[in-house]
Amino acid sequence: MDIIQQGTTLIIRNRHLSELDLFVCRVLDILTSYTPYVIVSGYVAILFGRTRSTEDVDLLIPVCDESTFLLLHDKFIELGYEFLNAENGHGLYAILASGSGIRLSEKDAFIPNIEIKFTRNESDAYSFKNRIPLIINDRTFWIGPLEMQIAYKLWLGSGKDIEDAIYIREISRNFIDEVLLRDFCSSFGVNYDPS
Amino acid sequence: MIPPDPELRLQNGRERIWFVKKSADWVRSVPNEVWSARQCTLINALLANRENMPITKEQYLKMIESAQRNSDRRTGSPVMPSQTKIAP
Repeated sequence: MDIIQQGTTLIIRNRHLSELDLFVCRVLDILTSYTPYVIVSGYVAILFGRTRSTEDVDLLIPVCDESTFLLLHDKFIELGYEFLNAENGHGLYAILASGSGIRLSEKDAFIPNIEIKFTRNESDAYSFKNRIPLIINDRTFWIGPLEMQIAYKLWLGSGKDIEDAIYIREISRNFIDEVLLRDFCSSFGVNYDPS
Repeated sequence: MIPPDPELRLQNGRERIWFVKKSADWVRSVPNEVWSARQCTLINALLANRENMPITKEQYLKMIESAQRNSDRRTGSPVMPSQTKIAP
């Protein structure tokens, strides 16, 4: 894997994009007209080459007012997307405001889908504020800081999460801040070297 | 139902982690065109089969909810290091 680091920006060139990546790109092209975002969790590992798929991609967006959300909602509907939750725009906003996620997919194809949540706690806020640009073939994906991603996945604790954490750590060992990663792991109460 | 043997589960977990590390080693060792082509083949093949999934979106959402309820994942937010604290 060839990764170029320029400041906080990571660049991966000549990477083939899967149908999943192309779906995410189409959604992000629309979403970014209305709100910034950060990609967190399993799809981050997939962007860096983890050999697995996922049904859903997790995105965090900052809390916005309902009128902004309704504009975003209407644009997605107009362009042939659907929200899997049965509610209308007002109901979907209420779900977000309650701290839960809503799922967005292309119409009549609920896999893959994107789960969108508002940033709702300190760890979300940290991931959003410290998001980093990952540029793949001239497309920008804003992802959560890798040190936080690794420690958070270890903290979540399921087998799949721990495997994702180990994968990201192995792939990014040349450009992550090991001291920061240790701080996160210590604060989260997880083993820095779970293997 | 006989519960899974704890030692077998541990061994399985160790083997999976070994495989993840070997996989990362391989990805690190080849050009982006190579690992990403293989990843695309896998993901595209899985997605190509999605129309054969014999459930509705309502059943899918229920399945996700149920899986989240029964998951061994932690929920909530971990305690952030003091130097990184940001207001949510």
